[in-house]
Amino acid sequence: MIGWELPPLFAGGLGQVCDALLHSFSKTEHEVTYIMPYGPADFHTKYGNRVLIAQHKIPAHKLKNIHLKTVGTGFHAYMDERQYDEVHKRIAREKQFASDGKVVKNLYGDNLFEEMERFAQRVRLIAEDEDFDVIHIHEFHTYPAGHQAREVSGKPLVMHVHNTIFDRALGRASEEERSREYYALAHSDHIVAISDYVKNMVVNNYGIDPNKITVVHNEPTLYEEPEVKVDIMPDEKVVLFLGRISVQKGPEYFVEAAKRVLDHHEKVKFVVVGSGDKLNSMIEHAASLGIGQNFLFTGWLNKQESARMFDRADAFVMPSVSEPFGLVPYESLQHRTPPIISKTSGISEVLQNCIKVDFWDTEKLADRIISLLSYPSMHQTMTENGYHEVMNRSWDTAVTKLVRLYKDVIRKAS
Amino acid sequence: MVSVCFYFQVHQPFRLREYRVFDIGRAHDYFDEKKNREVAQKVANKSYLPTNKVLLDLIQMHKGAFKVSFSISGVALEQFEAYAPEVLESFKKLAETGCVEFLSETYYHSLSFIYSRDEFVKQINKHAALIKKHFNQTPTVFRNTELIFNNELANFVKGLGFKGIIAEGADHVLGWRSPNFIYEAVTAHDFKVLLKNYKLSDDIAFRFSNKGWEEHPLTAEKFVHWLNQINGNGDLVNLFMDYETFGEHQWEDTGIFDFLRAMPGMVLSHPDNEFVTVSQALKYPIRGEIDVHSFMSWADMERDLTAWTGNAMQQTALRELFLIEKAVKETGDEQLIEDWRRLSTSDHFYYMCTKWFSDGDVHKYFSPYESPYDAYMFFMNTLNDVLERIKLLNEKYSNQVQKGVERRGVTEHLARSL
Repeated sequence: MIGWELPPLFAGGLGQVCDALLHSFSKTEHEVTYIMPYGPADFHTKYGNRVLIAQHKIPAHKLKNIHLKTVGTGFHAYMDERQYDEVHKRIAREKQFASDGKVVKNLYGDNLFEEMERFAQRVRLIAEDEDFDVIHIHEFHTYPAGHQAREVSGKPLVMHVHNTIFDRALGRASEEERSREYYALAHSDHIVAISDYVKNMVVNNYGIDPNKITVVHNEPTLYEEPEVKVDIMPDEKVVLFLGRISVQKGPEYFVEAAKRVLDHHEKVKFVVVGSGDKLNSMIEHAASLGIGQNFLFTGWLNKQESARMFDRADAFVMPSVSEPFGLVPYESLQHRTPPIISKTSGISEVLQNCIKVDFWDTEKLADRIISLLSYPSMHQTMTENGYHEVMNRSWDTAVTKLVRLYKDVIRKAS
Repeated sequence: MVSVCFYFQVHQPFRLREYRVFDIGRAHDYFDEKKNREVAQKVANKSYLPTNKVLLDLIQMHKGAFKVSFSISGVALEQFEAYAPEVLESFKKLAETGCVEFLSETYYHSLSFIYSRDEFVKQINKHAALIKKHFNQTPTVFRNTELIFNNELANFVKGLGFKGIIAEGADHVLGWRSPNFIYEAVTAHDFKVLLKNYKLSDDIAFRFSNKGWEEHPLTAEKFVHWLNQINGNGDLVNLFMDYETFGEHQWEDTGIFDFLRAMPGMVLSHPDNEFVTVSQALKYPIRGEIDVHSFMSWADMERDLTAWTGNAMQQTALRELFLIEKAVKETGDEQLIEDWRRLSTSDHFYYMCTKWFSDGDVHKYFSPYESPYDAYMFFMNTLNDVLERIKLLNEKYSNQVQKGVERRGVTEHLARSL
């Protein structure tokens, strides 16, 4: 499997997904060699609040049947060309002033695509020494590497799609990225999509044969956390928004709905956890509607702090415009906080105990928020059932589906 | 001698529209007229009209030897009259043959027995008047909503003057005993209880088109062979099911209509067999006693009330509905009382059921809504508007409502409305 970062070295959901998959694979009899790009140990930068390349050591993986291989590289999950250029410049600059004074020339590719090729050649070397039956890659960036592994082994290639450039860049992707994504999709032996939403993106934007795509939904990563009583704002209802504040996440619909709720129901606080390029406009939007005093912006919170927020909140809202999956509602229900989620999200295809709305229908969104705050029986039924629904899900299900799919692909290839 | 007793349940609720919080105090149209019309016409064309035609043909073909019984709710009859009058006409034609009997039930297909005896009786009487008007019959056998039954109900219904009642032949009540005899409840002597043979009934209603079932395909020959085996081991076979089984739950292409056309002739070809209506079935003597403390019904594997009262939302909605009964009636406002009664229809609570919901097995519960939560919100918002109307209509009573609600610690109402 050729993947990306692993926690605690992660930039986003992809690392968590790969980590969860590896944990479930280790419970099976199947062996997995996991190859991941690994940046220079002393280099880190920040994009938003997501650590792009962390300085931590790679965690000691003691998982049965899982073999971890790292490849030094300067590129990272979901990096676009511009971001790679920045990293590349900084690496070059920092290396010039490295203590031993030695500038390592040509260690990294001059641009993202060159770097992907360089990574691919390194992976080819690993693949030559390994014995395996199938190649599993994540996103098109690792396709060149997967392709090299297929060349030396003759084994089939499965591509796991977590999102497409149409979601990531909302149409601002370069022609080069688009054609590379298309090429990877078209030339993979089989495709795994994390939702029907992503599958439809792949089919509609790239014309890929839907029969070549299998949907394997993401699952919640379960953790044990004692329920905590949080006494902040005891007299008020709390409605939570948590995530990257970008145009994809629909922050303006949250604000519009809040206005309608407050017209009806005064004692409600809207708490926004997270940051992003739309943070300032979200603050201004709330102020311009005269509801600034009902909004609380916390910035990013760590795992423990956001857990406390979930425990306090009376409702969690995810009004995403585009959400290939969206794992947060699982987390919300684990904390017994009822989620109201956008229908344009992958998770809405599987989650039952929640309220689903069209993100643009802010009147309906407000209506559902008020209902959740007004009817304790509904809150109780949804959170009790939702908690059990989430706790009954497991990544083992996803791995079982993947193994079945591998067998199919291997049979077809031979 | 085996008597075959067919009984069909015909019911369509007045489904609520997406009634929002913002509608409370502003709009008083609660029901989804478009949806209700669509469903009535769809089911009429797929099921009621073609099945009524088959039944009429069968009655004529067998010269009165084929008989069936119906329980049609008042709200279903109202909707036929408004949205599909040809359905009402075809039921009237069946009634004219003298081979079709209509049962008594609550007009609104409600759970009123459990919450208000007074309302229960009123709904039965209202239903009886409508049956008399349309079909010129006075029902003598009672069928409670979804075969909900217990000792107390048997006794109460006996007291109303009915000759018999029908109920589910649930295993947990019968044990090793057969449903193919007439029983009496321990609380109501000489009051005959007809029990559904759920195995044979469900072979038609649920398993008919199930290709995974070992007996699939179910032919009329095979089914009649099973019926004939009862000869000597029972007096009668009660085949009770939703009428929508024919054409709606089991589509025409499953062969369900062919099955229905062929079956009666095969039953009657055996000289010991006959068809009876529910009141004719009462000719058999009581052969045993049943003791039903907790409510049973014909719903789900559990055969209990959990389909309507299983979660906190359902319990709250029902409690709140009957909590305002007195206040609603005291306004004397006919439209308001009628709206409130339509809210008592059991389907509203059934749509709030979350039993199978987490498993994604949504098909188990037919619902016009996306989720049980929608069903609950629309219901509670509507109920809050009913409260608003009570307040407007009668300031005096609204004070009592307010006190009553608060005293019981019910907090479901919007702070704004109270």
